[in-house]
Amino acid sequence: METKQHETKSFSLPLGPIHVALEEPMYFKLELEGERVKHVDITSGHVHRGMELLATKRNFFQNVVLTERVCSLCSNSHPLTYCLAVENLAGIQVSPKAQALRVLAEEIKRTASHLFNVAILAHIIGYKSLFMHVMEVREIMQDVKETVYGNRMDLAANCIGGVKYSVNLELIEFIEKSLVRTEKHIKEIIDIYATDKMILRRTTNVGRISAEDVIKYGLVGPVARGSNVRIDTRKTAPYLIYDQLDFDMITETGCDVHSRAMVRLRETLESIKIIKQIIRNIPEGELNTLLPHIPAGEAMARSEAPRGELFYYVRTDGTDMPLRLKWRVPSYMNWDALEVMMKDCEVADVSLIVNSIDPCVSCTER
Amino acid sequence: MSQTRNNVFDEIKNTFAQTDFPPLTWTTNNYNNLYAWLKLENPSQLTEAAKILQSLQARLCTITAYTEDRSNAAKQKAIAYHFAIHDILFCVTVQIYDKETLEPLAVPSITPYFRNADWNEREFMEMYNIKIIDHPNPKRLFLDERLDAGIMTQLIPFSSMVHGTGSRNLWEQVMLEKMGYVPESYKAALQEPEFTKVEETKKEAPKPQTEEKE
Amino acid sequence: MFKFLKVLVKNILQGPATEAFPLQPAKTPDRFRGRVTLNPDLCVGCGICSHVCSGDAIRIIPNEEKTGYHYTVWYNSCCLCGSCTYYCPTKAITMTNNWHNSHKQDDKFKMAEHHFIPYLKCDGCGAPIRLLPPHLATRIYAHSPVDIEKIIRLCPSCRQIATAERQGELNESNPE
Repeated sequence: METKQHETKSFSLPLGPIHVALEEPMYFKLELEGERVKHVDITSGHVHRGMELLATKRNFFQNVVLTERVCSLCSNSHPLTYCLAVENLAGIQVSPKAQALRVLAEEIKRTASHLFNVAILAHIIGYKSLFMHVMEVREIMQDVKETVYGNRMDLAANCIGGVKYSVNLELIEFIEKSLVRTEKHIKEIIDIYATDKMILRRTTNVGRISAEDVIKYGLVGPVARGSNVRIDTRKTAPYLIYDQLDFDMITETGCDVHSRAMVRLRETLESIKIIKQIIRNIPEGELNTLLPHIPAGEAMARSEAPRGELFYYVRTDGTDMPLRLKWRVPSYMNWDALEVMMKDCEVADVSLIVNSIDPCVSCTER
Repeated sequence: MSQTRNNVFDEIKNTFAQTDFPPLTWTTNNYNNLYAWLKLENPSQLTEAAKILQSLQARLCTITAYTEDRSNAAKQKAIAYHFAIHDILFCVTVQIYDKETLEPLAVPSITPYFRNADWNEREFMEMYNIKIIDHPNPKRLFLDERLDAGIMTQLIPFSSMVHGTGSRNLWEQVMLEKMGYVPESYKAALQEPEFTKVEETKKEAPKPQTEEKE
Repeated sequence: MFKFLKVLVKNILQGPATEAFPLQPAKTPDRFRGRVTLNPDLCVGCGICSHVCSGDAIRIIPNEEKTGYHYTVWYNSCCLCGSCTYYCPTKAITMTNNWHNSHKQDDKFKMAEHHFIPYLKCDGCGAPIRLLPPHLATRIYAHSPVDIEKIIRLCPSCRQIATAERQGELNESNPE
């Protein structure tokens, strides 16, 4: 009798902003009935830095670096999309070589970012040795970034009008060798994530969100694709040379945490496919336009970051600083949809569901 | 252009041709992405525009609030709503002040039509102090309740607030370490750091509230 | 579970994945973006590095007598983005792959590179100038009949006049 009473008791449980199972500072007020979550209230703003305002105090070139530091995991997507927006505004043509190199940087980052997220999944369910292994595989991509770009996270690949780096034959061979190793490991990892009983037990039918809700909440990225909603900016509104590349949009139908992880894992293989197509066919040409003038106007641009559609809007007045720079990261909508995913879930699954949207607070709050 | 895009393009064009809205402007970029721009005359038209866009199965990408002019930070605000319809980006811009008196106007919420407008609207309410009509959940998103709304039009960089003294002291220390003294030209040049120059040109730059700091 | 055990055994046989730093040197790629360094001989004082520097880490300030300028980079506000290196027209500022930037708090202001870079006088008008780096001059004037040795010692406007005069002389001697 005593236990039954205890189970049905409702109470509220604060979680975060600093918590062992949360990777990022976000405060959840959970309304519980026993072990079941009945309502979620999200309080954010712990890492709001006013970066959009800061961007209006710095010139267009400094902002390339500033946007790269919004977040570390999608640190290449930010300057890329910012540059795309500014180039749309000024009508700057980017050479095919620079476009190919931009895609190369994007896909290397995507592979590393996705591996990081699925590694954290293993970490949260307490599968530490798998976590270590996936991080170790990701380390191969980290080495690629460090060797080709000179840094493990901030690649500094993009600049307005093109890219700042090129690759020589030696580096191409190094990338190829690393890809072969990564691909072999990822195939093994996919097999483990698809069949391991411990992972399946913890992740299937957890954090469900239907395709209707995905559309209603405007979700993007692996969260949308995990619920079989076909949104991938690289396919739906191609930019750079993505329309000339052969790769598939990955979707899963499970609508749960497991589906999202599988989308990410399978996408790393698509990214590797893209990188392979590019590195042997980098066109000849100029790398960029040096120091272009940015006229007054407004422009939008979007790209597919590892977490989904990244959107940039820029307004200028003819000076060398933007009048307004706004960006919206995929996590922005995904946070809000947690109330759907967490409805009636177990308290123990909360951090797992949070991780399944691959959240980025520093991106969301800017 | 693909067949689907042509259809979507025609549908958008025809739908908006039947309304009283100003004509759409179309632009394209180097990757053949298509952009539509609609400038509304006043915020009360927003609800109607939102209804039409919802019927076109648009997805709200985000909402940007901004001040129209660098020098007139607090007064003339506008909002740009960014939608994606198929592969077309659709931008609806509206000025939210009275054209004669420059008094701010309230904006109707579009959250009933686009669920994900919730966070966006809450963000510009607190960052730009914009009044929203009938928001379903009008509480703070990022800012603490104790802070005043409209912080994005008031905020000034720390270096400007302290008149660049932080940066001046720093560089003087560096020169002391390197040369044993601070060259006179250095002292003069560091009076006004590069970073704060914009603030100085502002006509109505907000005064740093030093007494509050102390 | 069995599948993962296989991976686990393989990983154990492979040995540790970490580097033994500081007992052994850590592998650092050539392209690693570490501490910046300036070659004062190549610097022309154009200031593009400080214009694009997002960390505000570079100060270029002339001395009182205007006989040269102080060039200072404070490593601690450098964010290692490499923009200065990229946009530098003479490649005077470059990045080393030295990542050993940890230091005591007391030493923070020592973490800087400083050069006093003197101006030369333009051979034509005497205006203070910096020598146009020869490797750059050879590229700029690759198809021009000017004397590189002389032209690099001129200010931009005297350079223009000298180039035009030389061209004029040539046109006179070959009037087709």
